[in-house]
Amino acid sequence: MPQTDPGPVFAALADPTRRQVIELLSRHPGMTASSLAGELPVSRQAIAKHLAQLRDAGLASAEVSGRETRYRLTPEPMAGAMAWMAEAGAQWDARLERLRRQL
Amino acid sequence: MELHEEIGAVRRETVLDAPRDEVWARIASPEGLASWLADEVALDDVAPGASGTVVEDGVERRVEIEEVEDGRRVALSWCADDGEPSLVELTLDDVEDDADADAAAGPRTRMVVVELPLVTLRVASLATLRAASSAARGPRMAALAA
Repeated sequence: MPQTDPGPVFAALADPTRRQVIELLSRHPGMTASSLAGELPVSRQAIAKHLAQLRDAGLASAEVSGRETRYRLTPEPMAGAMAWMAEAGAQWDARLERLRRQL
Repeated sequence: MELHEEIGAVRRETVLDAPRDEVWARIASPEGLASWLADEVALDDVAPGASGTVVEDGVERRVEIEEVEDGRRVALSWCADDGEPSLVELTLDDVEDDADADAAAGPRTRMVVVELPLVTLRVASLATLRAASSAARGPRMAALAA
């Protein structure tokens, strides 16, 4: 069983822009909201909102350095979501095998 | 970290050695579901709005039937007490141009299962979900995602 409720992580990952933010941060740790906005077709304000949601889900952390705030991924909460998917998938494999034997 | 489009959606596709009406009987009635879905299935009906419980490996889930498209699809939502509420969609299709079919065995049926957390459905855009579950996605999922 997953240790933590995967709901907030699924909600965070369900948005395509947030997934792009995560991909960028995984390749370039320490990007700022402005540098992320420069890579994506959304405003800096929108990026700030997505970053706040990622922080709320425990998937990103912010670090103030001088006049900038830099963001990094903290992927630990992902484990709960991955565990949910693995468990749900294994259960469907077992159910479909039972169905197959009935037919 | 592995990240892909299907995050949050579990999808299984399988081809069963039985015609579609035979597989349909296994998903469209409480007795049919009881033969494979879980250890115990307590449902009064498989029709939109019908509800009940299933028990599997000692875990009880509350179940509600969301949508039924005759002969083709059943969508249900379920949730264990401390679990993640999710939507399950079971979709059947005839296997056309079945090169692998044994002529004596008769027609076969493709079954697609998609399970995804309700929270994913509420947040994700239509396009994302379409990519995640492709043809298996019914109007109920579309309505919830809208």
